[in-house]
Amino acid sequence: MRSKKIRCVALLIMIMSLFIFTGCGTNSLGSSSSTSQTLVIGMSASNIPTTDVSPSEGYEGWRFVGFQLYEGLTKWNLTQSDQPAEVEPGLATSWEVSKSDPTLWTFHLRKGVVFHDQTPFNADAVIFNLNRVHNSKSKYFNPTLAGGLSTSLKYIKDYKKIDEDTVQIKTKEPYSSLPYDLTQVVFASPTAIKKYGKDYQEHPAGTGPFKFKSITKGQELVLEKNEDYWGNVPKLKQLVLLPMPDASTRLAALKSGDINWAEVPPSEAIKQLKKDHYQVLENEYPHNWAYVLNLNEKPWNDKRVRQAANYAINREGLSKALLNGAATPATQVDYPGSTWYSDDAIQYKYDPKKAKELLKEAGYPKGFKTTFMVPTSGSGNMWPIEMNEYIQKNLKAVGINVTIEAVEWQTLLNQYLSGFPKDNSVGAINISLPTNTPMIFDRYFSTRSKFPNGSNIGGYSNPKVDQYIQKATGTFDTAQRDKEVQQAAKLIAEDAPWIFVAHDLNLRVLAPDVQGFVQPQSWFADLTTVSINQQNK
Amino acid sequence: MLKFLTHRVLLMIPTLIGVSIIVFLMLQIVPGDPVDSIVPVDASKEVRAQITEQLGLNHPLYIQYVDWLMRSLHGDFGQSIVRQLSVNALLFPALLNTLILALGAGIFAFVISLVIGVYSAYKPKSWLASIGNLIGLTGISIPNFWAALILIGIFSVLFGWLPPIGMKSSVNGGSFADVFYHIIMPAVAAGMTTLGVMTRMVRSAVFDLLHQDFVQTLQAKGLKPFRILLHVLKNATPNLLTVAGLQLGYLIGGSVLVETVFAWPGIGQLIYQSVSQRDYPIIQAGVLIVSVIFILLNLIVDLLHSIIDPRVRGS
Amino acid sequence: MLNESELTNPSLLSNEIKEDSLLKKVWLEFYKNRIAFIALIVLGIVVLSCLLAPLIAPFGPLDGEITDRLLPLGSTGHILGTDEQGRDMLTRVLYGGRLSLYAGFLPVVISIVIGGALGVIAGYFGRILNTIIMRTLDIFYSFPAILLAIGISAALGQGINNIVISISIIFIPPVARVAESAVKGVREEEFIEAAKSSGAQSISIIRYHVIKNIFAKVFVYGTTQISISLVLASGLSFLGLGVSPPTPEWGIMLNNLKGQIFINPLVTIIPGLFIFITALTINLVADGLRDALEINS
Repeated sequence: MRSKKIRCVALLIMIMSLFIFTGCGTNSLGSSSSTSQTLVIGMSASNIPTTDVSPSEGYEGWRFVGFQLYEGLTKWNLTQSDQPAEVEPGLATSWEVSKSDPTLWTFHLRKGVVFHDQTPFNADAVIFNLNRVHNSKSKYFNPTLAGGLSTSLKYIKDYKKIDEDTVQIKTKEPYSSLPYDLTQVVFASPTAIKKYGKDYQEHPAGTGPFKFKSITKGQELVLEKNEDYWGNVPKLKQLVLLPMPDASTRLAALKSGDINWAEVPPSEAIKQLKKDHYQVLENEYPHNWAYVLNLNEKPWNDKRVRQAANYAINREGLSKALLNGAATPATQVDYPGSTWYSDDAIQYKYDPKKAKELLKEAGYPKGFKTTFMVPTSGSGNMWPIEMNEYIQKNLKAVGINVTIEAVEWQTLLNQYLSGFPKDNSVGAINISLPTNTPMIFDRYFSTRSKFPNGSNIGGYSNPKVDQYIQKATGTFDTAQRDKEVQQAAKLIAEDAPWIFVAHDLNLRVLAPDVQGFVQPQSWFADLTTVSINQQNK
Repeated sequence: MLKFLTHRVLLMIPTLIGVSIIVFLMLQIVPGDPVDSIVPVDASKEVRAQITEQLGLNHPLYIQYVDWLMRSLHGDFGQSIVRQLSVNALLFPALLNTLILALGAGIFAFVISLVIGVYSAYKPKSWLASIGNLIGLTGISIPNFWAALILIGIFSVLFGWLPPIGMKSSVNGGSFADVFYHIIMPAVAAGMTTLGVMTRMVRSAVFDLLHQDFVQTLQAKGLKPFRILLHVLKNATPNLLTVAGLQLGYLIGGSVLVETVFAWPGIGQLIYQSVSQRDYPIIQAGVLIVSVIFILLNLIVDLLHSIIDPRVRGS
Repeated sequence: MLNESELTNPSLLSNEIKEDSLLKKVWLEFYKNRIAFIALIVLGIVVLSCLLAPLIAPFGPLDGEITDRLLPLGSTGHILGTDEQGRDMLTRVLYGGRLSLYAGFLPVVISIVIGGALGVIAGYFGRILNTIIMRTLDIFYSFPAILLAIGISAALGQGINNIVISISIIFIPPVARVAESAVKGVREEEFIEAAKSSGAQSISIIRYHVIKNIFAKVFVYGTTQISISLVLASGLSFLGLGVSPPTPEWGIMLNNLKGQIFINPLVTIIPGLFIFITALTINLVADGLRDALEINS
């Protein structure tokens, strides 16, 4: 009886194998993606980012689409891995602030630059683009883009053309962070916008190192090198972007040779991948994987509760055991080594006892219940479900009972952008936020950026922090600015408007034959230096 | 025949209207304002109003419905909210991919179930019949997403024979052989349920027919077994056709889980993603189109049924 | 309310006696079917161990050390290994089964009650009421089940109860169809005619005659739906429409572990194996039951 059953199973497997073998002769696995200079990237986003000047899918959209197709007057210098990325000239070769009026900026445009459709880049193009996203009365005004870029355009009051190669921008107040903001105000060909109107998305034209080649909706976006690029012309011929929201899918695709660049694969795979000669890249960069707390409502309106939550988390366990070292502990906004890291800020060590004491002091001796809205994947969110389950357990140990509400990344982003639900149904939103500019302190923590006037959705407010931030954004002395920001960072750590958890290390894995990439201390990536080594084949 | 056809098509109309109403209303229950999903916080009231108007959300519900229905009838399903692309451009390529997968799964399931089903009806005590039994039961019991994972585990992880994801190689892919290579595992996983249902169905249908008088008469007449089998199959066809048609419908609408596991860029995956992104236009158009296909498929099956077996027309 | 006159109705009495012995006969027949009987025992063990999880599980469903994560099958103390948070798989599977079984059985019960009622009303009263009910339900036939379920679950939001509701909605139309045709079958039978002519109310006729006579059919149909419901519910949960972490449930456990398929494939497939075994045994039992009933009718 039993042997008969076994025979049955064996035969079943044989039949299936037969079916599969018949298909095997026709193709050989892998290898195909490495032919020619084509880089195939598995992104963590679940959609292809939109191709207009304000890409969707968060900063990952900017990383792989926005900053490849387009450039702003300023751009990030991504060529160094040993120091935080800084802003450098982009489509403007230089700029200065008027001595008499600190709100008046003059930008000298790069000459001889053309858009991908050969339209020349000049002051008119700059004005056209600014009108498109900042002037609701202009003919080509696009409210969706304007919305997407509102934080970058926040302090721009006015702008005008001086001559063919010069524009002036006036800020609403003395605002030294403008060059940072301008990295994301990128320029598209006015000709293309006028010509294609609603269909511009399918014919985007910027000045960036890569230009649009084709899109298979929902599946892949293909960019190709811009031979006319004013900077380093990319070595790659083609760049293929594939949305793969599932970490294991990206790993699978990398192993099967379908992609040669995988964003955040499962961290368990690191060891094996290294053994198999894949290039496992990690680097610190300004990023914070945190919970933005709802300070408008109980219980998170109490500083002691927020600190308690910060003490309750075992960051070492998270970074080392759960994530196999693919993150570093975060106890304030920026990471040690960042320009805006405060050395003397409060250090949140893992201390559940202290957390319990603080909760008791705050009037929650038995703890409380709360809901965290968390993403399921997406830009910089690392491995959100696993990490959230881990933290859920940490918090439970001190009496904070968290219900995890997991939503798709773009949905979470939209929720974040529209603030906490009014009914206090969400106590915190788990989101990865870039901390790459001094302006982010204004954006996330200043009173004037409180929702709905800005992204300070938790409603954090500390007059002292406001003062430091104001001073920082108003001063044009970089050293002075950084000092002020550090002061603010210190107070923010103390007030704990976020539960600081981890700094991502930007884990990405490249196939052995991908060369020339520098993993910068930045979320963004310069792909012009990358090439595929065909000798190794 | 024409009368039967008209009758059936006329009957379809209220069903289609009902379907469209349900599809439309289903999304009205969804909490949250779709405008929130496009407009950021900093946006001004005018911008909000502009977008609300763009989406036609300022009108009463029934006008929105009629409006949407009219546009849909003209083949205009609007813009995707999240992806900012026309719904048609997203939907139809995805639909094609799903049809390819459903076809692959269908062929896999129909061929194997026919062979095994017929054989085990002929020789119910043979070991192949036991396998047929096993396949039938396994097919209807196995969660196809789990089957998908097991297939990946065996044929991609363990042996490295088959690609674990996607529909084609990312570079220079898309040839017939390439797609065939990629479709094997998804088709087997998606076709598992159909295989189970059909195997059981074929077996019992053929088994019943074999014990009917006419077969005995044919045998007595000295017809070759193969000719008898043809007679039997001809008699079983109407029923099998009905089940096969229904199954094909389920494969088109029901492979969302398999599509998710294999990252197959089909309509199920698209709809599921859009659900989690509250991308209403895609969900509405997607569910509507799949349902229409489903209804049409039933109609075709009925028509074929009536051609093969004219008695049906009377009822 | 009990109607005195009905008790003296001879056809009803004889009917009842017949049914009692029928049940016995069915059981005997089922008992003879070796495979179905074994399946019933296996199913019973699975269901019982899940229900008794708090008593027999070696750990708490949320206990575990992160340093013990992803232990392979057969590790000391963890027979089925551990999951991505270092929790014991056996424990999680047992606890998880409770919700999976809940989502597998409840929709069938709900759909039998509601669908059965609709079918009985449509079948018994016929005419316009029939047309309205059955045509409306027909509309739901035009949606592929899982797509409709995803749509409804998405509209209602995440949660195991919403999954139960959406599957119930899908199951109501077919149950109603079965019930309707069964009612149509018995409507013209003698004992109903007799009851009608003796002046009994529709409601009591339905209660005492119709339901009894269609129950077997609907019940058998229902048993075949349980495994479909179980697989469907775990599928929806697999998509993340069900429970939220850390609550264990087979579908979501499988989803959370699927990332490990390249690293620890055997642990990955365990939750799915339980869905499969449960569905398989349910199907075997349902088959056996159907056969047993067929032989006796």
